[in-house]
Amino acid sequence: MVQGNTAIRRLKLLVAQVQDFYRLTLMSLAGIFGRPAYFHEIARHMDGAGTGSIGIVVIVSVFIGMALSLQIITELSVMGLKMYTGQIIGTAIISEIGPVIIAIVYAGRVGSGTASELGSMKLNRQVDALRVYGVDPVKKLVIPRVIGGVVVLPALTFIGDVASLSGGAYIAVFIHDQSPSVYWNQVRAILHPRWILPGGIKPLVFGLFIALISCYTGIAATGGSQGLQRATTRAFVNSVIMIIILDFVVTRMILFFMGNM
Amino acid sequence: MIHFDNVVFAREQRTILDRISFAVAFNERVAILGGSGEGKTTILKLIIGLELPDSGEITVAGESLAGSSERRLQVLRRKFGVVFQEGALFDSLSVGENVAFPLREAGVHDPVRLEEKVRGLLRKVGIEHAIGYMPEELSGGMRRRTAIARALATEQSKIFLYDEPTADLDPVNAAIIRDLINNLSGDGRGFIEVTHSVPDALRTARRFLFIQNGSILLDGDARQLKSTGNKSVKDFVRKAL
Repeated sequence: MVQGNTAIRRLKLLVAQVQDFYRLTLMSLAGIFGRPAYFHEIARHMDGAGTGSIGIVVIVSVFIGMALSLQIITELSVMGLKMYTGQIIGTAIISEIGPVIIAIVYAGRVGSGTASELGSMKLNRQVDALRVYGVDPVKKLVIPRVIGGVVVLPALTFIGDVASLSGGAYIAVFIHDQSPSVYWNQVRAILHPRWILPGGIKPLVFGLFIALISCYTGIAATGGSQGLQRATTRAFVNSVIMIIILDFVVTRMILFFMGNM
Repeated sequence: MIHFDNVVFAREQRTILDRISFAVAFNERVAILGGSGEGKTTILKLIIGLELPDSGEITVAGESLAGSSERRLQVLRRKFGVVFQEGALFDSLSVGENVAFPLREAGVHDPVRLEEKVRGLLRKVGIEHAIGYMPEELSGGMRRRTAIARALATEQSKIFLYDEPTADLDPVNAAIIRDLINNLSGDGRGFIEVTHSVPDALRTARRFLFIQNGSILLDGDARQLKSTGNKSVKDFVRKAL
């Protein structure tokens, strides 16, 4: 009986959390074009999330590109299909691996930081203080981070894709003696909407959800420093789960609308 | 006038305030006393509409908070100078910028006028020299004083709300904060102070509300607080003094 009550209470809590998340999402999306617009905050978050993440994005992407290239070129060499290395790496990086990996890096670096910062503000009553001085916390804290995520993540993904492809080229050209023109011509061959579109749309969707999940988790934080730690972890875990689910959903939708399914 | 009429507030199946009623005039000096987790801070939050009651009615200056839009509540909140527990200063802003925050939100953007006002307010609380400090560089007492200066910047405020203003402060800083609370209430603006420190409350307030288990067990002056027949209040006061 006690276990049953606990389960019901947890279910109610989950429903309430989902409701609160959707409410925050609607308020954020509805408030994007409303006044006041905190341009300074938007610029600050774009700078922190974007400029501050370029280094880690490039390092992660280069090594992923190199590892992928090493694996693929070795297998293709056995079959005598080495010339297709650029095409396979390009397809994988641009439409799938690039957006997902960069989104996970972004969730780890920016999303967790957002949850921690907003959680700390909530627990230290700074969010209450904002409301006391007539400032809408959603407009001041959430919307700039949502705009930042939607603008910055696609840009970081583009940089990451270029870095990954370059890493792949390094292995193909310098380790496996492939001609640079063959590699890059094969990459160029897949620059088609079918692969470009997923690679362009996914970062937008991921950026939106990482920002919303992180902001919600931070603002909903309770229970002191342990609560803050839980919120930060939850923001990252939930963001990663959402990235993986959305990756499938967006891919499915794009292929459906492009007539391939 | 702030009016609570049969206010009930519950969270996670726990009744924090159970049909409490009281009225406070804007020029009164009131201390809300009680142990930790008895709902003292909740009362402050309810007064400024940061939380809404489950039932009952709260009116501020004759206006009911129930059903008020966030925009309307923002207007009502300007009647209060709020000092949160531990200050609630904005971490990313300097002391000067924290104090300037309400002024900027109220439409003061001229840098010369802003600095003049901010310096004046910081001078009032005795920390003008700290105008460029960041919150993490401040002692507990300086954080409270900055928070009080920021609350003073809300020029339309009619009453101050202090949440545990002397908690965790050394005796010297606690005395400074008490003096500030007393001095600032001299111009017709009263205060509601939430505290678990009976000596601090006795040095600042004239009226005392004691809360326990969601109910007001005592509403009276210093004499009534000290000579009450209520066992819970008596024990609390005896331990505190």
